[in-house]
Amino acid sequence: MVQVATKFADQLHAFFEANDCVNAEIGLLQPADPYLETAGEDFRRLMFLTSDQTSTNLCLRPEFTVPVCLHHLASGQIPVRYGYVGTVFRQREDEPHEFDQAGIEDLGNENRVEADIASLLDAETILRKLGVGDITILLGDQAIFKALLLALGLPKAWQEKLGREFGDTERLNQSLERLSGESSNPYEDLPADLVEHINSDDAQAVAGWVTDKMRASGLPLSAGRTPSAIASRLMDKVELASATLSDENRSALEQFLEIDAPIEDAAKIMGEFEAANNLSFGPSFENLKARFEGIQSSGMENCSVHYQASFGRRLDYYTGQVFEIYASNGKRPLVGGGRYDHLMSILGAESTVPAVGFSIWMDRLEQVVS
Amino acid sequence: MSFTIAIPSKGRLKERSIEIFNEAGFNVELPDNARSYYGQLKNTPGDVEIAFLSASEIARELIAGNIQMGITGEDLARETIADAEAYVEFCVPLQFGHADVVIAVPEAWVDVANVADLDDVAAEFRARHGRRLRIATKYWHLTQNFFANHGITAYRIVESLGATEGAPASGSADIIVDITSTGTTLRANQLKILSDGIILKSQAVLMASKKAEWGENDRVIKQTLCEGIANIL
Repeated sequence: MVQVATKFADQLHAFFEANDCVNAEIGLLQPADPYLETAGEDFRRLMFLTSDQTSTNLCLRPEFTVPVCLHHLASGQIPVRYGYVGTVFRQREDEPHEFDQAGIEDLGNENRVEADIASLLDAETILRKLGVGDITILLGDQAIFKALLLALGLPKAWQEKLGREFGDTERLNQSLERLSGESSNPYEDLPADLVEHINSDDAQAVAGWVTDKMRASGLPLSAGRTPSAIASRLMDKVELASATLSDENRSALEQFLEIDAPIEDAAKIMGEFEAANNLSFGPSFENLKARFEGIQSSGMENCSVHYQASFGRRLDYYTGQVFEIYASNGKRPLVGGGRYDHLMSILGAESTVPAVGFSIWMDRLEQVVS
Repeated sequence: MSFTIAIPSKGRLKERSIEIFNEAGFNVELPDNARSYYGQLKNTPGDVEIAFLSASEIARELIAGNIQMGITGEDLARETIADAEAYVEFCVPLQFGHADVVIAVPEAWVDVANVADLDDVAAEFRARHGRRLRIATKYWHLTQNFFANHGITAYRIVESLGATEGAPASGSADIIVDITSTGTTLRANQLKILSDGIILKSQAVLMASKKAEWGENDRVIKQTLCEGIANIL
């Protein structure tokens, strides 16, 4: 069994047991590929990597969520909540590389609103039990921005691009600027015969042209991008090249991203935004409001909760509520959490598995309560 | 500790390095024994030993501070360590060994002209193929930095051990990041460079280690070498 360093381990395990969380026993040495496939190359730089004699990439456990999900996937997948506490290893600039994390992952619960609220409240309750005083909770939502892009009727390619950039407001604003500007020449560097196929709107001929080119280059036709995928994206691109983002849509997006309000006022402000821009967020907003109400009626004390419309994570498996909890005046979050309904399918689940969880940075917590 | 300057141990980089020192009036004395890896540099304000090392070893030794100066490719220094400026001073660009580290995609990807296109394609790749877009490269750090700066996250690097330009055709990767001087090899493999896909314009540079020990006379030697070489370029 893995040695647990944090002095709070017993209290954490007692909380898990009292709240029907299954103990997740996760090894220190983990396969690296699931992390690289889910969190990507940026995460590689944070990990401590090694390999075994068969050249399998391994890493020192950098977090728990991915292995907990893999464990769940292998073990039958009835809805279950997992609790964990243990050491993780990350290359961090001015914090220790070896530290403890604790958290709960709630997998398979179809009642998403209820599970989202419970996840946030569990995190808050644990902080209280371990002696943290005043806290600030930052709330965001990955789904509502996508709902807004849809409601504005933006082209699908733009929705996808902007949706991906959600969470990085600077980049998002650059993209809005670019989409509002002069259109580009989509025919640049394209051979004349190909342009002719495009102009006659002949998708098959475009795909045929690409097929010939791939054959001539010795490229496998099915291992990666297919001729039809390349052809259809090219034609979409040509069609979109003349489009620009309207001033109204740009202003709506910018207004939305600036919404930052105490949870008590957030729903009202969002409703006013809908009315002013003559649009509807749809079901995502009902979902958000239900969460806001649940959180407000929970009776949390010594706690200010803010909804910030631009707050999100640039990881494509996060799908709904995201949150961070700070000690008042704290710069770094003590807790990070959120709903990640896409993660289990990326890791191999055949259908979507509702998933929500949080993780506590125990090293930061210990500094706050010491 | 004596002053050591490392120059590449073979090929055109070695020849041009020796020529440049000789033209600048610092005569290179090659070892009598052709197998020896050490020589001497003359007409310098102190003893200077020349170490003949591989270009990538020179980058590593400069970063480690085991040698005072060296001539190697800027690409190798920047690839070896993320924050190269903290370890190495890029003293004099030598105007040879020009090569660019570039992103190249199959010419058949007619819908991909620039990095923004690649971002779109990478993002939809997993949804379509159940895996990330794969990039074959020997330049892990440069690739990671460039893609991070451009906000592209949906990709995987696969290590390229042999001829990187063959990776798309062999199916081991979808695109490549590689070094090119004339583009001939890329064209022969029907790969095209993205319009804004130049990650680094590299050349051979006279570099100084920031991690080595620098005595007072070592600094004089460094200044003499830098000025002497800059004057003839």
